[in-house]
Amino acid sequence: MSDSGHIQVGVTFANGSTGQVAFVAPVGDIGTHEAPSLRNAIKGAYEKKPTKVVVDLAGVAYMATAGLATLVEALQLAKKNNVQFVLCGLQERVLAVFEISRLASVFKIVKTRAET
Amino acid sequence: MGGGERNELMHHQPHTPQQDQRAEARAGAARGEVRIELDSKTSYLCSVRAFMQSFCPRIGFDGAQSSQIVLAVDEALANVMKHGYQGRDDGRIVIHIQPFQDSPVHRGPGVRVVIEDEARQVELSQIKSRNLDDVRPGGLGVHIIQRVMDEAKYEHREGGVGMRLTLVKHVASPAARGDTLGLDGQGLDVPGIKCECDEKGSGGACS
Repeated sequence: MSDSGHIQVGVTFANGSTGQVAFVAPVGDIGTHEAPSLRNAIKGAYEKKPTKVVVDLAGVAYMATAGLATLVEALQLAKKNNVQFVLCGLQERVLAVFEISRLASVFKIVKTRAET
Repeated sequence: MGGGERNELMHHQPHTPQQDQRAEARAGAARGEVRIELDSKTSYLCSVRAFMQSFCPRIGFDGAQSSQIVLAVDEALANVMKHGYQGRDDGRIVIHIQPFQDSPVHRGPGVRVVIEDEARQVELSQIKSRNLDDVRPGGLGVHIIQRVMDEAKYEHREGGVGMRLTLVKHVASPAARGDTLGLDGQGLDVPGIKCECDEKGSGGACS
């Protein structure tokens, strides 16, 4: 578990049916100050060459556009490297920020880790 | 005596001095401004968010409306820090939080949040949202501010230095209704406009 800024980001790996799955689970609000912690954690997960990256946002009650930008970057990197990128566990108010930014349809978003 | 007559009589009863004092105290509290002055450190943003989230319900906003205001203020401050002060962490920012009972355009309570900085001034015409169909990181802050607040007005401060952003939200405004953040999933109403601040260095106002 890394601790940078005001959030903790847990990164774990599991073997899935199509290869290694990385689970990135930030806990805390993700604003401008905290977004780099999430960026670094996702970057670290990619370095392990997973076939799928799942960002579990169940522990995030607030997300500013800096957090959205981090996730868009991660999605673009996933597409570039042919990695699946999935978001899960979004709380209502976090999902609403995706919707107003028209990003909800850009990402694959599921409710729980089990659905990933 | 019917209920209607009783209500009419009550309506015309003169206020006692104690009632007048209480009404005056309520009006005074509504007029009272909260002022927050901070350096342009992103680490301070969480404290401002926490304050706004706890303060807005006192004005009459529900949880979802309060979250909208928190988001707008947070995005505005982040813009000042990132673009206005260009990452410098010793710039001054003053936030005036002004609850009101009636505004020139709406009756009823609301809040006006005025954010002033001493950063470089930005051409006002460059402060705008971007085409949301262009999926890329950044450039969403102004769009969100405009969507969740009733008013968002950018100005140059007097003296040639600094910007002033005035945000207004009414408790009873249509934009404030709805669940979660009160958002309807619709994007920008004016398609095709594009934020080019990254390319042109427009500074202050577009995250």
